[in-house]
Amino acid sequence: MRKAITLFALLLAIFSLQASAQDRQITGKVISSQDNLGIPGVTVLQTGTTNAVVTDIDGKYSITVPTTAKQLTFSSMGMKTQTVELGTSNSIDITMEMDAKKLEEVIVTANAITREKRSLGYATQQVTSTELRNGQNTNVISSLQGKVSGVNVSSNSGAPGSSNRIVIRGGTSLTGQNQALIVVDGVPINNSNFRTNDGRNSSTSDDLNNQVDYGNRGNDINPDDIESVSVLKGPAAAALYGSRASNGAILITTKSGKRVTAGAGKSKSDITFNSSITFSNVLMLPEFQNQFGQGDVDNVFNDRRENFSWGLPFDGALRPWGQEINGQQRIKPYSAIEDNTKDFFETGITTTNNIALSGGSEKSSYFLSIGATNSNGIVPTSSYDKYNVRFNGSTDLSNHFSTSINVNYTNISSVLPSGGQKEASIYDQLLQTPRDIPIVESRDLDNVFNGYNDLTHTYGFYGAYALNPYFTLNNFKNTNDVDRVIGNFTVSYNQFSWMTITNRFGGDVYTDRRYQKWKKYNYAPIDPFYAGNDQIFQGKYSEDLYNNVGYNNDLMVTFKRTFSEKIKGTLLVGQNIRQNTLTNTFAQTNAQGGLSLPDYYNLQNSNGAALVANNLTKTRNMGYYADLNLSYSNYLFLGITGRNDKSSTLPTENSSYFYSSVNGSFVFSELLKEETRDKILSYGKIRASYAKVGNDARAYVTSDKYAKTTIDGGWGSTTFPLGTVVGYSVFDQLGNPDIKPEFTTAFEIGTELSFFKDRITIDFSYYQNKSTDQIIPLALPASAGYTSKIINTGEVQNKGIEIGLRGTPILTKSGLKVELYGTYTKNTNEVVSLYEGVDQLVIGGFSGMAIVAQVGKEYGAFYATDLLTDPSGNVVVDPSTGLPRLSTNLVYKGSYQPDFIASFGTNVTYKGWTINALFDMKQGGKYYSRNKDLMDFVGTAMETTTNNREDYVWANSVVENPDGSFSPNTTPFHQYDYFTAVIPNGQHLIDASYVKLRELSIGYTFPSKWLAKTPFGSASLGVFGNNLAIWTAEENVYGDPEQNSSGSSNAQGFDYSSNFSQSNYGVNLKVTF
Amino acid sequence: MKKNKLTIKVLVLGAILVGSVSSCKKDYFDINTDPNYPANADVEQLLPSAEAAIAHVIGNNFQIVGGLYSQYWTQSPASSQYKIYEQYSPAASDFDFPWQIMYSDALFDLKTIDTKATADGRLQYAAISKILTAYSFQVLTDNFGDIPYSQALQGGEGVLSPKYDAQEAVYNGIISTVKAGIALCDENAEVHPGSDDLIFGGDMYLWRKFGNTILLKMYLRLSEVNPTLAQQGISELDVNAAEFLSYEESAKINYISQGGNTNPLFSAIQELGSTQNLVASATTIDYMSDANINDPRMEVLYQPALNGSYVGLPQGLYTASASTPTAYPGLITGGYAADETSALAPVVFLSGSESFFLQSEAAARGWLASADAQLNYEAGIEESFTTLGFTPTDISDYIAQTAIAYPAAGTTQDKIKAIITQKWLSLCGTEGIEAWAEWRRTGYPDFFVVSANSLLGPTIFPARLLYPSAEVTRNGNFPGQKLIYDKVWWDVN
Repeated sequence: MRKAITLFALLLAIFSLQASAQDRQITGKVISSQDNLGIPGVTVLQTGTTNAVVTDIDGKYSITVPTTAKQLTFSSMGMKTQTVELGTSNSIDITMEMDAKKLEEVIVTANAITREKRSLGYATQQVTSTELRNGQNTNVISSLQGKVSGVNVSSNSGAPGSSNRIVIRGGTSLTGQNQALIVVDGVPINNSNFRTNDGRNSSTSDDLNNQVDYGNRGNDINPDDIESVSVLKGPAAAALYGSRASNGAILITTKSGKRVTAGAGKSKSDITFNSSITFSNVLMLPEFQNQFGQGDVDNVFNDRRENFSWGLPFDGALRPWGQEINGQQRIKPYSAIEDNTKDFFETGITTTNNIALSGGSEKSSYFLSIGATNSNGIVPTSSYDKYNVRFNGSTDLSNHFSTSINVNYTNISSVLPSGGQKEASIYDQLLQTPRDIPIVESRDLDNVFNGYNDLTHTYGFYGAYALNPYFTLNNFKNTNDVDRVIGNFTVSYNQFSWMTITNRFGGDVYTDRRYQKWKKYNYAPIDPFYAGNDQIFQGKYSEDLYNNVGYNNDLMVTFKRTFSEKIKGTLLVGQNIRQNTLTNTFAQTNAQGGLSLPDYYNLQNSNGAALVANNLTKTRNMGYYADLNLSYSNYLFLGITGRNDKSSTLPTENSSYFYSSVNGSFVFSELLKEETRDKILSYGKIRASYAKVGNDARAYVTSDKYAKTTIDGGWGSTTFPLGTVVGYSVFDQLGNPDIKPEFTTAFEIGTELSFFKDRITIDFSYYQNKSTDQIIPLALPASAGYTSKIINTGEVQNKGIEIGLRGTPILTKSGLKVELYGTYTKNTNEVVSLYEGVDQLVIGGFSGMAIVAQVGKEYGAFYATDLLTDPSGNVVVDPSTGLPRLSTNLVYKGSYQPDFIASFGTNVTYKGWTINALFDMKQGGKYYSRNKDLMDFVGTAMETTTNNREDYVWANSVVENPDGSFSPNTTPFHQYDYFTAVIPNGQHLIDASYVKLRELSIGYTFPSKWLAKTPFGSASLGVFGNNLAIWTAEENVYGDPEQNSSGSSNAQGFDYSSNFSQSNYGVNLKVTF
Repeated sequence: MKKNKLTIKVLVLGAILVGSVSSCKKDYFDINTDPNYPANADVEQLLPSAEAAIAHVIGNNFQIVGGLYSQYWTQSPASSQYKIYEQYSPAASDFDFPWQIMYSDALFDLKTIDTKATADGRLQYAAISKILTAYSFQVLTDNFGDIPYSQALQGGEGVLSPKYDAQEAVYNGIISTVKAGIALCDENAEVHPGSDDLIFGGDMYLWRKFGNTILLKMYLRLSEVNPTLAQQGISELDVNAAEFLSYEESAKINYISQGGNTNPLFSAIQELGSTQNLVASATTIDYMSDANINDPRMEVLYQPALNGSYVGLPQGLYTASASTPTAYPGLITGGYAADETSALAPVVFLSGSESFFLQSEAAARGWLASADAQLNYEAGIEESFTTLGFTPTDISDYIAQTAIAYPAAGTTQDKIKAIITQKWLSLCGTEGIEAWAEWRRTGYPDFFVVSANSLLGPTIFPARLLYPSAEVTRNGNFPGQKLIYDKVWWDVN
């Protein structure tokens, strides 16, 4: 029967062609109801035929139809299709309306398969290019902040290339990856964020003295190349990607050229030029005290060498300061320099230029873009330059094959500042500067009072305990070069309407090269008063080279079948192969001896044996999967997936594992009366899903091994060979030959509702994720002979709700449209179990402040030494000093998990104008602020001036009586003693809540009639900003809680004096030719 | 019909594609052998690792706390690294590194050596491993009291939370371990270590003497808590005519100036930006420079202050002005950062001088009948002086002083006081942790002062180290944290 219909249609077509002798020409214009401007690219079709044209740039068209033609159909993506009866007139102008619902209907899902959103039984959300680019953020992941419910994005500093972390529905893995998988055009890409010691022998936490944010590789994609981003929130959505997608997936679809509908004749080409200039400033500086200046021991000793601001109160009197050199000494008023730190930072300038060419014919299309981002950071001497080239092309071959190719090349070179502590850390130097010592004046290093002399080996800088920050900038260089190619090649065969065969091969190849050149020096102070305070550093040169080669191949066969008029089905079966090879070569001059000669940065110049290590990690996986989707009458949908993976990282007998998912959706609004849908509930759907995803282990954890001996004593180390004697030791981690795959199960229900012709839409989900049998390195007491053992254990649970709301309260005929939207996410995380007899697993921090997974607590709990309290919560003090006593053990101090995340935004459009604003917030959670720790210690923090630094009795403090009871304390304490010696790390864990004005932009699109006589097809101009303002919790006057020293690792909420975050604002111009 | 044929073709093509990749070689997934680490290492590589690990702890982490609590050194007012020790409030986490190095680096490698060497008959390696195992456990138990012992180092056998044994049981265990090690020592064995033995270069005669001296040290440590056992054990040594370490026979490791191969304390100071946190304590400087003592070793054991004087800072007075002149630890201790000669300072496990003082004490107590207390006392002083480069005249001048001469006519307690005080001087800057243990056992020297910044009040001294925080959080059988002034089992006075 079907055959007959096809034949009939063919005959019809032939018939219509034969009839072409008797034609009429119809002309007209298609305009938009929104702005009354012409709409280019609308398909004008003679109804029931294949005869069609498209409108030109002004929305005009001309179509020749036979006199027998009855109707014309006007259609365009995102517009409501219209059919117009042909009358006698040969001129037909029409007005088309936006079809908001239709725009959202189609969504990119796993393996780049486009699906109708209504058919999905799990939560997804798509962000369009326009929405993504509102704030002109140079980092793709950061651009998602506040736009998708259930998604927790943390951006480290907001600087181009800085790292960020994206976690969907809370973390489930105790020690593994918790970030969402990033997929570009159907191929997963590497989003590594190697920290100082990662990828090498050591599995220790980051080196606190060497904190450079090299960014995470997910940000290598050029945001201007992105067409849309879909977020698949749960493992159900991502079952087809296998293990790596157990944390959800971010599916990025890049732009492609537009094909021209058959019969249109001429091809249309597009050139888009997008340029912006962005200015950056520090978003939030710590709040400094301006009452007391340089000095030590609480106003008693006025020491010119001090980095302490524990001196006398400011009196404005002229006082000598710094070293006495050649009988001279500088003099300045003894008063606070309020903007001292602020003035150190510069206005960062970033220019972004992007040109994209696209075009297409009936059977082919292409897209080519070239982008450049050139940035000078807010820290003097820092810079970041990124270049992107992308080519996307597709073509249909004659013999039922179609092919497409996407290739992206990225080149990054940057000069990055160091955070953390000690010589190389710029922030360390800044935060320690006494409040009266002018920082900016120390810029001139040739001035003997500021500088360090390599000939005489002397220094004249005032500070004996900190370096001139400009010296640090000029002599501690961290550079990074990245070259990356990501691409995929797809071939499809579709001779039959019921089956398609597709093979997609993707490759991701990059090198990430890091160099550190840290100066060797040995300076004695010139002033004899400073004697004994030599500035000595051994210097360092290091090369840290990462080379990653990943490939991924999917072979998929899709079958479609219509069982009856109402029941339809598709079945996809596929096979996936992937391999990843990471090589790291690390070489550094001797850790202790440093450089032999100063200023010569080469491994040959190592004083003592150079430290060299190379590391190779290779993994292979193969999966077979199937995805069955059934629909009934376009309102009932069912999806079932299954997958079997085999992984090289698991022991042979456990290396193959199966998992599956099921999901369903019911679009109940289809059953409502037409009238109800028109007036009240225009769309309503409920959905539910259950999924299980398996995951493998890291490479090489199944066996025991030995390692070259390095004895690390915390400070100081002994490394082998010792002289010529070779040393090896038993590796500290006990391997496990019986390891099994770990599993995450997820259940979710949700609804999507749309009221009053889509004026209000709601998307709600409740989910419950549970991760079991996790593969973790269980920390062992060293007395067991090992420090960790790889085991299967532990369970982490996440429960939560996500709400996405969107409403259009104002929509006028004149074209004013005000749209409001918001998201709310509340996730409750709990570590349910770890291992018998073990209830804590350390994931980060340092001695005295651990970030842990603790049974019964949320993942990422802080444990720290804190003030000792009595049973009623009063602080217990020492009766002789009045100073608080400290807890002997680490105590629970909250976690980095926020109570909830929310956002609120608006889009206003009127004629050519658009205004977007987006606020987002995280409420609750804690973070460790080393800025606070350091500022308390040196006396620059506001809280060190309580009671004008006079001794006082700790509020509600008690003393412990010999019988164990407590009585009120009356002994006042000395604040200097408290802040310089007693204050425990628990006091530096502070409220991480914030509200940010994440994005604000105002744009204007010039009316096309203005451009008629110019070469431009369209032109728009905008001002934008991101990360513009922040409001923090009252106790947090120390910095943006998003600042983080651990990159995108699991050790979040840890600001060990990392880069200050920045606000960005600028102007953007976009024109098309 | 044609259509069906095509379908079959396509399906066959698909099947081939799928099949071809899945049926690839059987070892396609067999790539999980770590190419970055060796799967095996032998006793020749394990022995120097273990020795250097012990040396790192006693020469760095414990040298610092031992140097402070033996009042050789104190925290400089110009810096802050060790304030918490002077406050007598170190954090549990301060002891994570030494504990971990001792157990998972030193002791576990020693256990592996013992297993391998015993299995293939290289018994001299087994002997050394037993002697060093006993030595290491004594260092641990002396400082932490009850420790994991009988169940320790068995993570590979599934004991992930070893139970703690009473210190007495640990002592019983290590005494028999060191005896077993001594029994294996064979100077004529064909297979023995060479340069891979950093301490004695494979000289098994010295290892036997070292073993005997350790045994003597262990018994004497029990002099107050179990004098019967101490006396028995020492008499047994005497009966067996045990030989002890003698002149120029210190058990020590030498270092070189190459980065990573330097004295561990120097390495730590250098890593701290060469900040001179450690300065001379007035307790020792004042004693040595006393008009009745006139100890010339002061000028070697300490570097003078920048003004050239030898002046110590009152113990714990880091709150003094940062510009207070102070002397510094001497180059021989590895504790003076500004002179690279410090890098070459050896780490001493047990010195020849210490051996003489041990014999002297045992003799003075009447437990080592064959030895003469006074001769050994003077030999101990002599060896200490000689090691530091002094001439015989310097030595005889020193010993001739009334305050120094052996109190042959005094009570046993007078003799012990003289011996231990001299031993304390001989351990200055090189075996701080041992000197502190001996002070805790005997109460000598009797002129220690409470740190000026103690948080424990004017009468309390620290009497142990705290269990490390990793043990608190990771060991299911952890018995509970102790207070820093809780005494260990053998510390009964």
